[in-house]
Amino acid sequence: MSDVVLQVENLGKCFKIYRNPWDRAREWISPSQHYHHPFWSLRNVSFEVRRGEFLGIMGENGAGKSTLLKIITGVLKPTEGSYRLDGKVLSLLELGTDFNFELSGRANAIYSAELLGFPPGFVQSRLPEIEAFSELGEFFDRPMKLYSSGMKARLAFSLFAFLDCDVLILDEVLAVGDIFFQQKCYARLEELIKRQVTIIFVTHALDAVQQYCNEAILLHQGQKLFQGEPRAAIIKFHQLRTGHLDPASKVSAPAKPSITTGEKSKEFFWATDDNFIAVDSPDAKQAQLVRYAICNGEGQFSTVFQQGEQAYFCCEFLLKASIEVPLISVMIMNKFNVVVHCKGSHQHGEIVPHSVNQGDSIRFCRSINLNIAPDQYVLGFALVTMQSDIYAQLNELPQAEVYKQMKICDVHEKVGTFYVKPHYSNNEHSHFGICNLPGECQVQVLPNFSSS
Amino acid sequence: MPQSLLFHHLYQYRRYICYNAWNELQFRYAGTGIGIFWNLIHPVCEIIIYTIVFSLLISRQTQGHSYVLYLTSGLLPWRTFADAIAQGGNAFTQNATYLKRLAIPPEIFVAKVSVTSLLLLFIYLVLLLPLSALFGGQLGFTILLLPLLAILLHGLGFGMALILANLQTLFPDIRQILQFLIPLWSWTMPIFYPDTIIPKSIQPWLYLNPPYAFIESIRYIILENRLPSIQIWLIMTTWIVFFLWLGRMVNDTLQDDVRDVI
Repeated sequence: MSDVVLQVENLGKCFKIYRNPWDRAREWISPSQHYHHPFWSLRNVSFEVRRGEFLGIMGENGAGKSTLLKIITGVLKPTEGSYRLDGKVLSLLELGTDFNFELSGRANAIYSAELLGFPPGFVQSRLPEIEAFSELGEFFDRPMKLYSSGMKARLAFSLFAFLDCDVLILDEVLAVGDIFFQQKCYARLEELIKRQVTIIFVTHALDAVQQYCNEAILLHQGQKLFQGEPRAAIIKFHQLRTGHLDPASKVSAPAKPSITTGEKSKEFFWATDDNFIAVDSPDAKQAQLVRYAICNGEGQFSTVFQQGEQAYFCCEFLLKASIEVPLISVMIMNKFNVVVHCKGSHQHGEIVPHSVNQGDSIRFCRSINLNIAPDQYVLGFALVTMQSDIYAQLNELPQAEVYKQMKICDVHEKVGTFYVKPHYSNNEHSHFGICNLPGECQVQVLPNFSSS
Repeated sequence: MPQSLLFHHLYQYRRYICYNAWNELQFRYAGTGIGIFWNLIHPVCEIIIYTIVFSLLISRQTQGHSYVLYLTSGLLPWRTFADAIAQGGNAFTQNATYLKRLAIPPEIFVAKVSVTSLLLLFIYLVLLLPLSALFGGQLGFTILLLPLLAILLHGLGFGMALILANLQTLFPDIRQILQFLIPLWSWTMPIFYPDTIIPKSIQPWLYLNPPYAFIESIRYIILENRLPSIQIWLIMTTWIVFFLWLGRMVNDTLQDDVRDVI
């Protein structure tokens, strides 16, 4: 068990909230009285981390991530429980804000190291490496007030990457800087992992957790909800967002054969149960989105795709009332709330029944080649209904008229999120702008005969 | 109570404290045209104003000493002391960005302020000595004790500021109270006005004002080449031991609460 570098046991932190600061003094005077309102930012959290592990800590804002890290780094004292740390911990939280902007990058590196408890002179031996890694060039010797925010981040990361420690805590540090520096940072982190340094990574960037971490912890309202494989943790994290934590119990939805599939004889793609994210929307009237899945070509849950990769978006609606023709659509929005793509089953010409009864489930699956710009996207599903006689004339009526006749049963605009990553080099999926448009291209050069 | 690490921390971070204190002195007026000289211009203006006012009101009460020298020798130590208290009391809130994220002992920020003020006092004293000769002060070998007295004065200031820094974080009102209390404090002892206008019967009570003994000792070394008596040394020792002990105790007791609040 000697390779356990950090052991956390039943850790809890309670903040005392006073309505008026002087209430604290009143408590000193009469210790039996309580004038504060206790707030448990963290409670009953236990886990252990081994050397050379890359641990991700996920959670929404206020889940207790920072409190946990502050306790581990020794800034805060736990109210209950204990932790054992076998070695030195460095934390890169909100990096760079503790630099003195009047001093040069070099001087800041030296004094920050000292402030972090390294013996004077230790960092001197590392300075050439730090200087080289940061790629700051002559700026390394200029006052930091002249630095751009990216340069500050470079300096901070370079400094931390070359100080000796057993546990390195990072937050969304790597979101700054250009892509090449980011790649360099990750390469350096992998090097550190090989040297048995443990890295704890706190982030909202789920793609990074999936890519780099070998274990993840999900915190929610101060409690540890889950610890384990990153992919499973991300599924849990999504379930948190959709307000539903226990997929196994709820998703015993009527497993009727998919009567909704039309006569098209292609095989109906449907993800396996463990890849689904359950959704809780109890106030739904006509229909309710029960669960959804985002899968890659192998049918595995994923939130990170290569540009141009095929993705499957599956969803299942449970009807609470009988409806006529069901139309289901999937919608993809970018972070500026621009709808990148939205297409319903009727636009695919998929054949659907004329009515669906209360208690039935509707399953919908759509495969999309993600020929869109590398970015983070938000996924939505909608179930609408329409009278069968209008549906029969769908292709004759003007579109505007059809839209008027649609009745919304259940809409989830922001149910999940996924990322599209760029390819390293150009290929047929590369493009500029928000989406790739199908088409061909030809090039011809006309020599200028008149000038010769 | 766990073993107090206050003095251990101060020793451990001594380089950081001293370096930053020096830096603070250099950059306090960063961005202004004459930078570090503002440290001198402020007190000089104050001295000129008080000299004008008091030479009109009170004449010839300073036992034959020049009023300028009398005022300067008391005002400069007091200014640095009051500054150390005000800034030191603020030290935790001002350095919240560090205290939120780094596991460094907060008391070093108070120490930094005290060392800054001490350095400033050293500079003032060095500049004061030629002035003293000009205005008829009687300098002697006793000036060798000035650095020691300056250190003692700011040791006292450190103890007081440490208490205030802890309390101020928990009770932000204290900062507002201090803002009017510190100027008021300077009038509770003879700094601007001659000590001779205070009735003899009340004079011993002045030593209940902790910094007074220190300031008086510095003043009479410059004015009269006179060493503090053994009683004064005793009073000074008592005050300094008391406030360092109290500061250490307050800091040890409240540190966890302070961390939570910041």
